[in-house]
Amino acid sequence: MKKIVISILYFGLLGLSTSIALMPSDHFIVSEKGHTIDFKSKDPSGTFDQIKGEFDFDENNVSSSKFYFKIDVNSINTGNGMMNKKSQTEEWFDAKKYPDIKFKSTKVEKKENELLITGELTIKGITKTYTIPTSYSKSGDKISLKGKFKVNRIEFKVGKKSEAVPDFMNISFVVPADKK
Amino acid sequence: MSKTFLVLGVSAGVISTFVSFLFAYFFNQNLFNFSNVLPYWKIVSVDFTLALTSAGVYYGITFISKIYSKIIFNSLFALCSIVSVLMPITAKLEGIEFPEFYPTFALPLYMFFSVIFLALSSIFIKDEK
Repeated sequence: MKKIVISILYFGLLGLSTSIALMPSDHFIVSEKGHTIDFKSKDPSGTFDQIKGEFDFDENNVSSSKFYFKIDVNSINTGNGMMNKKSQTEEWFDAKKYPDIKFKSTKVEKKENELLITGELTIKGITKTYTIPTSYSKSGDKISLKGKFKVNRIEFKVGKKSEAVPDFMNISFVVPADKK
Repeated sequence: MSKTFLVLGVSAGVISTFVSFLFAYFFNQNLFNFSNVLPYWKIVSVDFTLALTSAGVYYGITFISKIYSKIIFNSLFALCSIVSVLMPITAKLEGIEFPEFYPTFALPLYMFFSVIFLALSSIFIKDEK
């Protein structure tokens, strides 16, 4: 009788700890393919071809979500080789010294069907707080984040104020990710 | 299942969880934060599962062969511990900061459990003579 009780206790504890250990966490890693980071203005426009990132996202508890993204400045593609090279110079992104654009969330809220992701955007070593409205669609273990926002390049000392290049860049992104 | 092995499993689970939690907490706070990759609840549940499974396997081996149980279990346990070390080393982590430091974080967690379980098993399980 005693052995049966101990066995039940053992298998109960083992079952409980195993089921918790195998429980999937809502942790996502940005997919290597399928993402787009576009920037548009009167001139120039283009894309960043490489983004890495990870995030914790719980649909039922969005405030506990955390996002982290890193864009490779060297992956800029304006459709013009000369312009790509120029954008990496000290005057613009200074890619040698600051190879990445980073975003780290500090607060996540849900507004209707949209997320408002507030966080620290770091470009060229300068950090500013931005709130990025983001929509999402989930399908199984995959999620896709989509959104648009504006960045004032002058705030980050990316280029100088000029009539040829507007201060504000329209950024739009589609970032697919897989659950890990 | 005998009471001795159950107590061994639970004790090893509690102690290794406590040690691993402290280590992970200080590592995440002071060095690199890997709490997104390996959250605390995962460390606790994995440590408990490993401890209870090891105790169960040890009991099973003892049930089959009392005389050679210690040598069989210890050999098997050492082999599993060595193989498990490869997991964090070969883990490919994309898109996180400082992925090269992940093994530095994960390897001690495996070692804590192994060392604690072996230390406790020699206290709980008496030699068969």
